[in-house]
Amino acid sequence: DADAAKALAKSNDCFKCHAIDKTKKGPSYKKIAAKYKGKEAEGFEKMHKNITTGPKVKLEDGSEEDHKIIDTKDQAEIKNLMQWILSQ
Amino acid sequence: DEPKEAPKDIVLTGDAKCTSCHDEADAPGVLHIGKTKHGTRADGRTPTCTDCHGDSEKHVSHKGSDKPPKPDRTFDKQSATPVAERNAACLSCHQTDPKRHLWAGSTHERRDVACSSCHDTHAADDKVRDKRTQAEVCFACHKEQRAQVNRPSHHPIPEGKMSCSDCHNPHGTTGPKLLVKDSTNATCYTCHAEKRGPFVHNHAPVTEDCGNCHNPHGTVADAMLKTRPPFLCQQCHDPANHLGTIPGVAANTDLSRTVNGRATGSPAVQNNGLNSVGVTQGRGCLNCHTEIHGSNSPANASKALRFWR
Amino acid sequence: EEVAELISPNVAEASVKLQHLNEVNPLYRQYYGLAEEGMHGSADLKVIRRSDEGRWLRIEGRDLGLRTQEFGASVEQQGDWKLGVEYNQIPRYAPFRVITGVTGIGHNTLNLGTAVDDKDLKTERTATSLTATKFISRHLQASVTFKNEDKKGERLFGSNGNVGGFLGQLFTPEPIDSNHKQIEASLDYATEKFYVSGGYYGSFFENKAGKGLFVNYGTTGGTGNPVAVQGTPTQMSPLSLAPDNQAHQFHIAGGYNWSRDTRANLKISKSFATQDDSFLPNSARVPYYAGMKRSDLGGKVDTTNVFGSLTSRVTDKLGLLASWAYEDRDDRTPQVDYLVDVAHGGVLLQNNPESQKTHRGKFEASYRLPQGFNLTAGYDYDFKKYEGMDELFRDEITENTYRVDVRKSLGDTVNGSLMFAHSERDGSSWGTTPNLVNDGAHAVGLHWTAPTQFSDRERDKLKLMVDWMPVDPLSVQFAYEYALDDYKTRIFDIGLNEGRSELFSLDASYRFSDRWKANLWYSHSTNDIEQKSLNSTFNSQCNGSSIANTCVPWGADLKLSSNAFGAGFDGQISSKVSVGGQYLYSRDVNKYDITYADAGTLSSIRQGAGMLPDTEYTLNTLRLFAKYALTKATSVRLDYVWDRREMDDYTWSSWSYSDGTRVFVEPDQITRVIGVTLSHAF
Ligand code: HEC
Ligand code: HEC
Ligand code: HEC
Ligand code: HEC
Ligand code: HEC
Ligand code: HEC
Ligand code: HEC
Ligand code: HEC
Ligand code: HEC
Ligand code: HEC
Ligand code: HEC
Repeated sequence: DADAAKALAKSNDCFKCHAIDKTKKGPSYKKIAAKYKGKEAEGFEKMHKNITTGPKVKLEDGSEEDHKIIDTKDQAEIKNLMQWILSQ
Repeated sequence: DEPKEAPKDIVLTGDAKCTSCHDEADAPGVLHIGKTKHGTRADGRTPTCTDCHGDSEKHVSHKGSDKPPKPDRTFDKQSATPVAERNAACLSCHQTDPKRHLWAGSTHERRDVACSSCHDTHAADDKVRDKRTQAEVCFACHKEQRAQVNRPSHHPIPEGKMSCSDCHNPHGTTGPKLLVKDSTNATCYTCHAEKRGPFVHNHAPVTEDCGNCHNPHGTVADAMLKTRPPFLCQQCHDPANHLGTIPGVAANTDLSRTVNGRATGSPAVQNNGLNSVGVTQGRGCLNCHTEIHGSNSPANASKALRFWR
Repeated sequence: EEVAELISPNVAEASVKLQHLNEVNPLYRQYYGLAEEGMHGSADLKVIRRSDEGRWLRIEGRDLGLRTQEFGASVEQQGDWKLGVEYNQIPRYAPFRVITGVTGIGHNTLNLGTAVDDKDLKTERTATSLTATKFISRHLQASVTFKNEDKKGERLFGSNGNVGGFLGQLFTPEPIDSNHKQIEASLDYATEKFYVSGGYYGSFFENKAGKGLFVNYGTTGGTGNPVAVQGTPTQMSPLSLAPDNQAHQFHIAGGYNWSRDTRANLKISKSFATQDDSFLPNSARVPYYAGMKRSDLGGKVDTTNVFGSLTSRVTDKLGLLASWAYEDRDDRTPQVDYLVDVAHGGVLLQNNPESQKTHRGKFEASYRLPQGFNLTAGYDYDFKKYEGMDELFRDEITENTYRVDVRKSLGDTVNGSLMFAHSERDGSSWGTTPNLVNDGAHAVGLHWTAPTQFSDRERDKLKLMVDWMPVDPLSVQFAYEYALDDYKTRIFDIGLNEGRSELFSLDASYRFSDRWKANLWYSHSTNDIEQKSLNSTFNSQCNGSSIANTCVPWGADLKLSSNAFGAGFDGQISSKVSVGGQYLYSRDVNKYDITYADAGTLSSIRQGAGMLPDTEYTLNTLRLFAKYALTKATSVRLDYVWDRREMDDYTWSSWSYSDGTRVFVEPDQITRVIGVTLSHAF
């Protein structure tokens, strides 16, 4: 469900750093999808960690900060979002 | 890999500070500011994001997973920025506009109405500046007028042919009630110049204030009269002879007698004589006193004086 | 590119609309101008271009082909100059049906024909404006607007023929054919610190329909319907129509920021209005007073306006405002004898120039309290002075208003304001003590007037407004207003005694998602007026000595109750289909509660007088639309309007003019409009 995924990303300000096909502070979703092409299982795990635990990430401008933690506990929603990211 | 470069301005000169986050991916609506005059970069006077929202350093340099602190100035309904401060952002440029000199001290300014209560700055179409949608914006606060414009006698506001700002300048004026001219009458004369006179026989309340009889926002009585004749006229006029006639309608009045109890003849006379029906139905008192705004009849006849001709 | 589309104002769009109207209903068409049933075609046009250099071109047309058409075009170099032209057409159809034998409608001589027919009374305004602005330097701006407006048509008017002792109401539509030219020019110099401005406003009214309206319905022979004897004007002819008039106004204004927090404004303007068009010729129909030498009124009114204001934020928390407005309307029309009032002892009567001076002062302090609260206290001063009016009145009126206002406006889910104002109006002593009744010899003359706007009055006003946003997508608004006017009349409670009004309103809007939203509102208001009068007879002495001399006190309580309800929604079914709808309901009921003491056999009151049926007006409008995007550039839109208006009003029912004309309002009118619009963006 692309609409739900986008809505979730929007309400969590994900688009502030990620565009679909343009590099902002973070990599584009296309880029992320490409990175995990063929290794979806690994992707799900890594992405899940990234967006639920908030590790230090390196922004495009070189500075570092904690990654955003998504504001939902609903695993189905998160899964849906990740699926959408990978489908880009 | 794409080359790393400093973010580019998208819409306003110097907007990269903000649009590195608030770009088309995040908030396409925000970029619509480009469609407005604010987005005309060739005009050096136009603002950049920070002119309105403030430098917002804390907002911009926020790091971490939680929400950043708000920018220095926000304009939404629940904003914590005091209205005066929000408006100061706009007035830093707009106080020099001829139409906004009088904002300071205007009723809206004194009642903490924000520019952004009416104006949509991030939109191509600003509802309040389109006469077909303007009234809706005003009705957010002015409920009485919303009810009045739907009454049978009204100015063509609901039909989109006139707007509140034809009579009011919401930014402040020298006239009463934010009227565009110095007085109610002067405002009405911009469209009803034939009422300006002066007349040979002036009707005092007309010269004084059109609002004595009319409610320009709409009424149930014809011609936007506050009350219908004869009641309207009887609010001021003494009861000598016919002036104090008790109104009555043909449908339930004994037509065979005049107001003086005299028997009368034909139905035409009965309907139209100087009697209850004659001052109530049709145009009421105006059946005879046609020139109610003042008469210019030079005739040597007392009826000219009484707005009869 | 996506971004370019988001930030570029450029549009080039044209649409054609076909709408089908099932029926022509007078109340609906009043300002929509659709006076024929069946198909109506129209076109809309919108072109906006902005160059990289900041040059704008705008062309916009709406309803082209209909009576309501509008057109505008402008070119602008933003921040430098602008030229624009605008055309606007406003039709108005009288909201009733007329069946009449009167001919010559729209012209200055009316006759009574034998064929009876439906006639539309309508007016149409067409206005063309030209605007030009230019920044002569960064600070100096010049602007000129010129507007030329024509109004043509005819409207319900009337006359009362007093022929052969017969008082008959005659249907006499007023011809309207006028031109109004207005020009406004100003030069504004503004810096951060101060501004000065000077300007001119001119208004020129010309009546092309003639100066008089001749009613040619013949004589009545005393009974029955008037006989159409062509060529015999009624005694009332001609009815005077508005002569040409003009006004010039000059202003200078200035403003100064003493500091960032203190600002002063001053504006002075002077207007010169004249009305010196020549009168009708002295003729048998319009006999002048023999001693009258003028052929025009020589009307001349000079008005001076001064406005000053000072606002200051004394501290961060305390803000002050003082303002003062002054108007001196000086009617300098020469006073000459115009007529001999034969009916009232042959007094020589003159024209009555009326001058007035008004002062409006305002003083206000507002204080910011913690937690977003704000307290404002204000005092308003209103003063009017009249000159040249009948000595029967008072010539000075003063009104003092005291008000407080508490607001909460920052941050929270609940914001609101509460305003209370109390005013007291008072005036100088009344002129000559009124003689309640006339001398018994003349029908009129020794009367007096106690105009409402001169009466002592106490007024209380209360306004409450609450904004509540319990959760993000829902917002609720509540408003309550109450006002009470209490008048002290001049004598015997005659005139307006009391006025009361109340308004309650509730609004709610809800955003279901980014794509769907809905809102609804409801308002209820009531309005009460209490007034009193005396029903007297001709020659009345009000001493009850005979049937011919009775005065019966009576009172009326006029009640208006209005309910209005609106609801609307907007949504997108898919990226291609969007829909929306609005429903509006409004109902006004007027009640006329008339009471009088039974004067028994002495009563001059006709049986049945005092019993007025309620008047009711109900409006129901449903509007629906659906829009389908065929391609990115092309879309079709369907509109449906269902409009029902019910009117139950005694004004015209079972009442007809002496010449046989019937004017009436159909009690139940349903209009259905179906429209298809095809739009294409180029
Ligand atoms: C402050 C900027 C910022 C915000 C806000 C942000 N991200 Fe990220 N995100 C980044 C950066 C930078 C990276 C790159 C990390 C890296 O490659 O080390 C990243 C990486 C990711 C990745 C890829 C992780 C991986 O395994 O390579 C995903 C998925 C992601 N973000 C999703 C989200 C979602 C969902 C949200 C909203 C809840 C979000 N991001 C909000 C900056 C952000
Ligand atoms: C680092 C990314 C980033 C940058 C750069 C940034 N913002 Fe924001 N902005 C955000 C985020 C995240 C939010 C959402 C905050 C929230 O919902 O409370 C936001 C919200 C806003 C809001 C809405 C506030 C509200 O009341 O909901 C405004 C206005 C705003 N930003 C303006 C600006 C301006 C102006 C600039 C440049 C001076 C700017 N932003 C720069 C990330 C950024
Ligand atoms: C002319 C003054 C002005 C300028 C310039 C301006 N804004 Fe705003 N902004 C406002 C106002 C006023 C609002 C409140 C909502 C509205 O009027 O549309 C607002 C609202 C916002 C919001 C919140 C929108 C929402 O939907 O909640 C964001 C984000 C924002 N602005 C970002 C920006 C960015 C980014 C820029 C520069 C590209 C910018 N603003 C330039 C006046 C301005
Ligand atoms: C830095 C200067 C600046 C600031 C700050 C600013 N404006 Fe403007 N604004 C302009 C200029 C310049 C124009 C174009 C004026 C013209 O027509 O020549 C303009 C035009 C406008 C217009 C007409 C827009 C159109 O598309 O026709 C509106 C409405 C407006 N401003 C409202 C606001 C509001 C509301 C704010 C504050 C929230 C604001 N402005 C803040 C400079 C500014
Ligand atoms: C109560 C509603 C309201 C408020 C509050 C308001 N405006 Fe306006 N504004 C309007 C309307 C209506 C118009 C269009 C009519 C006109 O030109 O006067 C308008 C027009 C404008 C224009 C465009 C004028 C032009 O020449 O095209 C500017 C600029 C503007 N307003 C700025 C402001 C600023 C700055 C503030 C706050 C100090 C403000 N407005 C507050 C209703 C409002
Ligand atoms: C955000 C609320 C709000 C909006 C929107 C608004 N007003 Fe007002 N207005 C007020 C308040 C508050 C007052 C003062 C209290 C009152 O009289 O009700 C006021 C007063 C007025 C007055 C009376 C002024 C006086 O001196 O007594 C006029 C006229 C007026 N508004 C016209 C308009 C017009 C025209 C619009 C739309 C273009 C508009 N208002 C939009 C809040 C608003
Ligand atoms: C034809 C001219 C005209 C139009 C159009 C018009 N008004 Fe008024 N308005 C007036 C006049 C005149 C007054 C002063 C009436 C009075 O003195 O009581 C007034 C007064 C007001 C007041 C103050 C009422 C009070 O009790 O203090 C408000 C609020 C208001 N108007 C709002 C509006 C709104 C909203 C619209 C658009 C729907 C509108 N007006 C359209 C002429 C107009
Ligand atoms: C911007 C133009 C404009 C202004 C200003 C204006 N009017 Fe009107 N008025 C109209 C139009 C348009 C009509 C519709 C009929 C027509 O074309 O004359 C109208 C009609 C009327 C009617 C007749 C309605 C009927 O049902 O017969 C009255 C009464 C009236 N106006 C009173 C006023 C008063 C009082 C004022 C000042 C407070 C005023 N108008 C100010 C444009 C205006
Ligand atoms: C003494 C009460 C009174 C005052 C004051 C008054 N009017 Fe009227 N007005 C009426 C009555 C009664 C009618 C309906 C009779 C008619 O149509 O001639 C009317 C009708 C109108 C009409 C519609 C008919 C037409 O002539 O086009 C307009 C426009 C109008 N008035 C404007 C004004 C203006 C402008 C003023 C102030 C200069 C004003 N009125 C002051 C009582 C008044
Ligand atoms: C707000 C007060 C007010 C209202 C309402 C009012 N009038 Fe008058 N009227 C006056 C005043 C004051 C005079 C001047 C009387 C004088 O000079 O002797 C006057 C004068 C007149 C005269 C001329 C009397 C004469 O002998 O000079 C007539 C006729 C008249 N009014 C009829 C009407 C009719 C009909 C209506 C209703 C449409 C009406 N008036 C509504 C206040 C009012
Ligand atoms: C059938 C015609 C007719 C109707 C209807 C009518 N009047 Fe008169 N009115 C007259 C006549 C005739 C005169 C006396 C003119 C004269 O003697 O010169 C007059 C005179 C007046 C005067 C001037 C009195 C004076 O002493 O100078 C006023 C005020 C007045 N009428 C008000 C009203 C009011 C109020 C109504 C409605 C209740 C009304 N008229 C209805 C015919 C009418």
